[in-house]
Amino acid sequence: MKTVNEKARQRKKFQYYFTSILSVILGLIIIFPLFYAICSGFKDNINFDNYPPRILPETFRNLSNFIYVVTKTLIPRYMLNSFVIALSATLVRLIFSTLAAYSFAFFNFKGKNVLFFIIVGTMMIPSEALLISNYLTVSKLGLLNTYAGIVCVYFVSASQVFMFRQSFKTISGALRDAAYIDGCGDLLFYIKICIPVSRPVITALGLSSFINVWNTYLWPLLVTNKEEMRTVQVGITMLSNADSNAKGHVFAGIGIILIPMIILFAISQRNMVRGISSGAVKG
Amino acid sequence: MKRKGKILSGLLITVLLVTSLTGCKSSSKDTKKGPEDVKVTTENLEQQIKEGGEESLIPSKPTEVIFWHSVSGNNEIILNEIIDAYNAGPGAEKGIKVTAIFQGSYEDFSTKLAAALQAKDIDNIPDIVQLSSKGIFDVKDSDFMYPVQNLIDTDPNGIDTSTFNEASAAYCTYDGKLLGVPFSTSSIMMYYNKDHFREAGLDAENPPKTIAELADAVNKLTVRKGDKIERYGLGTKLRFFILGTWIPSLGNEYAMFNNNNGRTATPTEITMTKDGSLEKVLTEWKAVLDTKGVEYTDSKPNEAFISGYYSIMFASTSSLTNIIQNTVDTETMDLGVAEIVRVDDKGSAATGIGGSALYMFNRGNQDSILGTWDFFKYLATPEVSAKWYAGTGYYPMNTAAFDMPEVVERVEKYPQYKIVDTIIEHSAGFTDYTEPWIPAFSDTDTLIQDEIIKFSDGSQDLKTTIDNCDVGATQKLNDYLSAN
Amino acid sequence: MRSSYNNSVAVSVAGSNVRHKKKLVNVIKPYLFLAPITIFTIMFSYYPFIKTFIFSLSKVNVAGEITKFVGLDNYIDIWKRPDFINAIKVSLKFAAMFVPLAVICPLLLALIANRAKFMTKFYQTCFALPMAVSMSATCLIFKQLLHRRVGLLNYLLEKLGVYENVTAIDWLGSAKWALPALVLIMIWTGIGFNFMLLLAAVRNVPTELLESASLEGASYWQKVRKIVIPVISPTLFFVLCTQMVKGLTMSGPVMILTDGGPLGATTTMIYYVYSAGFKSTNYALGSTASVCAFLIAFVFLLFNFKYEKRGVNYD
Repeated sequence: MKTVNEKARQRKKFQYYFTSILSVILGLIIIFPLFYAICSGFKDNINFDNYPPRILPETFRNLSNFIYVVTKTLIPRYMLNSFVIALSATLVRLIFSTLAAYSFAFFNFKGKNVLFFIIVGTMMIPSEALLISNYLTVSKLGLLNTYAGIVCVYFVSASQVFMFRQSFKTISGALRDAAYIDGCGDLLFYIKICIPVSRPVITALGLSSFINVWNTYLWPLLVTNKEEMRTVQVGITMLSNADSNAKGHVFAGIGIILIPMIILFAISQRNMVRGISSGAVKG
Repeated sequence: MKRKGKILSGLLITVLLVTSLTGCKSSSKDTKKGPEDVKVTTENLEQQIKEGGEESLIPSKPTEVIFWHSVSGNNEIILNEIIDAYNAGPGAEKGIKVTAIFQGSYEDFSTKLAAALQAKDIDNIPDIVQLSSKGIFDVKDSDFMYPVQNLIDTDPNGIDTSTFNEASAAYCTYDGKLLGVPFSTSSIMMYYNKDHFREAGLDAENPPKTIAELADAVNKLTVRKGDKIERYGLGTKLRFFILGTWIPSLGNEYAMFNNNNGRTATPTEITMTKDGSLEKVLTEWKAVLDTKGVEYTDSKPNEAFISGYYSIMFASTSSLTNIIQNTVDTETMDLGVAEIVRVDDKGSAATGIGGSALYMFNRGNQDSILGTWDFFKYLATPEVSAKWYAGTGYYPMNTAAFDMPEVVERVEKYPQYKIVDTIIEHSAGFTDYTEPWIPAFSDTDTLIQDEIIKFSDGSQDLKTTIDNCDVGATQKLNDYLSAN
Repeated sequence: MRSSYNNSVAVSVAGSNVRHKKKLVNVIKPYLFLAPITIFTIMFSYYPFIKTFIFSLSKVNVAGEITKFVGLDNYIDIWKRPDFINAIKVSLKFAAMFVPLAVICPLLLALIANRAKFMTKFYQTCFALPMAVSMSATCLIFKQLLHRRVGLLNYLLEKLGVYENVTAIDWLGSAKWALPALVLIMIWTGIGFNFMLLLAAVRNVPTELLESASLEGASYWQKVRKIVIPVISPTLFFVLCTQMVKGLTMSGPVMILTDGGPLGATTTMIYYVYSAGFKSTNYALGSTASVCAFLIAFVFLLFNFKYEKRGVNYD
């Protein structure tokens, strides 16, 4: 006869196993489209749209599409561009957002709510309306075809300000006061306490920022005229054509571009897990 | 003081970070020319050519010609081969280098071009642009646009426009002048599955010639299982590209829009809803709809046709190469091609022109213009036209291309290519069948497509459909006319 | 002791330093922290937006120049246009379908993942991976998967017998199913990021609270409702707000996949701005629609913040 405790423990173990397996299954379902995309990179352009459709390609040894993408398009250069742009935009964005969030979370000043809404309001401004205006501004500043010209519109992220504000607000004001009395200035408190405490959030938002900027298409297209300054997303579009079927190429391109993303995830996974398990400061 | 210092240094770092991102700045800040200046440039140039002769056509120093286009995929390979050959050959002799830059789809390209023209930034405007009907309308009146006709008139040994396919040339003619060169034009045509035809007891060598015959064929070709359609007889979507052939084919007095579909001046009214032509087309079309075997919402039927889901489809001549690769080369289908069906047996047998053309901009730089002109002349040669046509399926600019060995070989191997020649033959003399140049092209096209779909699924009667098209299209025209 | 740090306070506590701060520095400081972001916000968001607002009060030609000033005429006119009203309806419909799913799905995944102890790295990466794909790539992939004839979804449904007596559905081409298909695509895209945020929040719920609730006999769902959700409410609130804005301003997949069709079933407000406005070089109309879209989203966000006061506790 099992004791109540043993039964409870067994039930818990079963739940752990069950939910783990469930999670894995859900995970597989969610990444299925990506798996399909990568497999499709190995398929022939010609037989791509045969019926009935297949998931797996005829053979995984058909690298012609991948070779085509790497040789016929300047993908390596584009990836470098995308990387520089995404990285610099992310860093600057994090700095600007955390500074602003600090201000909203810890200071009381005139116009605080107004300024907050002004900044958060940018989330709702349709970017299509701003494209041409911003092009004119960047053009007047002489920043067309430069990294700075592309990156400058990404420096503001209202949702990051918002999220950091939430995160900083959970740091108790009493801690702030204590540090203040001990002679710790705002900037020091910001650097030594707020940032480390928000590390999981910073990693998450930084990653999301990087990916968002990596994925933008229209603005970099507008602001660059030279092949060397193009980003990776334009590269994918160049592979497909309305009048012809080059789907194998397109999916090969998608596959190639996914690789640095997957590596990035693998690296930052460890950081995030560490950050999450270390927990936040509780006041 | 320490604290202030920390804050200041923090800000300083930020500022430094931002400015350090200013990589390779575009340095050319020389005198920005305005529209009046560029006009002077071309007037002087034309004068020089008239007086100078052959030598004056060569740029005075090595010049780069910037070419913005929307060609991608396999077609881009062909385009780049043509450009590389030019740069290595005639370009090298004359010190001209053509640089082609992909600028996204026709849509993204239009946004970019609009922004560049608004900025009046001469350095960032190209020399050559490839524009479709969507993009040309807003640009054609720009001060920077330079009609190709001017150079054709000035340079006697330039391009012989009689080698152009008349209809294609009419496509890019504005106000009586040839605005651009018809580099990438196309027509609508019919592709059909001969195997399905034979199965259904139809004559595979005699495809339907009118809408009425089409209705009959669709009825026989559709495979049904109870209420379910397992295979559609026809897959298409009625839109400007198709109406551009059907409306004028009813007779000279019928047109989609006034002012010659925008070739004489900006259209001020939609005429096909008022002169009864749209009504006639839809009345005939009802026969096809009644078979319930037509998928009338698919404007990109290529994939479904290749997979055997549609027996017939309407698609562009520029898809020819691709369809052949996917059906004839793979031996999965006996591919039949035909001209698109006529509305009835009384109208003309001509087919309209759509697609895109190449136009040139005047940036106030004589050498760039000379470089562009030389490149256009190269594109207009039979050899290059043949290469472009054989590789892509777009109409060749120079109709002598049909006699070039490359094309002759292709036609022998794939007799389906003959259809383009046939279309040109039957369209000779009919130059009004052009895709309209109107403001808000895409929106108006979508509006009319949607109304026709509502008519097709039975939720709207004919009169309401025509009225809605009329009201909607007129509003869009008025939006433009009230602001410009 | 007053806990204020922005006015000069001379605090004497035995043993620690006493610092008199200049009033001026303290007053400016909050603004200094905000300066960098505000500058760029004004330059690249509000300055162009103000231009947009001015355009909405005028008639603008295709070269982007104002031809005349018409005051509120554009606003009166736009509300008379059935396609604009349709765009608003579509946006609201989309948000109504999208927002609940966009908050609940990642939350469920986070709750499940919190209980699972094995292979965490694997499925966490799987859930987060959709973020890594750009919108255009995602759309191309789903376009292929949802294709009526050669798409795997319909093939699967065919094999399962769903299409026994019914013609195969054209997911992106049917007026009924196009919008739900876009909801699916948007959910898939966003699930990873929100999952990570919510997982971190759920993991940080103090176990003592949960254990003492278990001892009192609370069921799993009661614990979730009464403890987990209130504790993670700041993060949940963030997710709700951002997804609401995302839902109301969705336009990417529409531009790539459906072009606002079929029959205007996927023409959201922002797509309307793009298509009827800028694509058709009717800048005045596009600007007017932009301002209206902004106001609508703003109103929703204001409501959210009102709720923040009541429902969200920061501990």
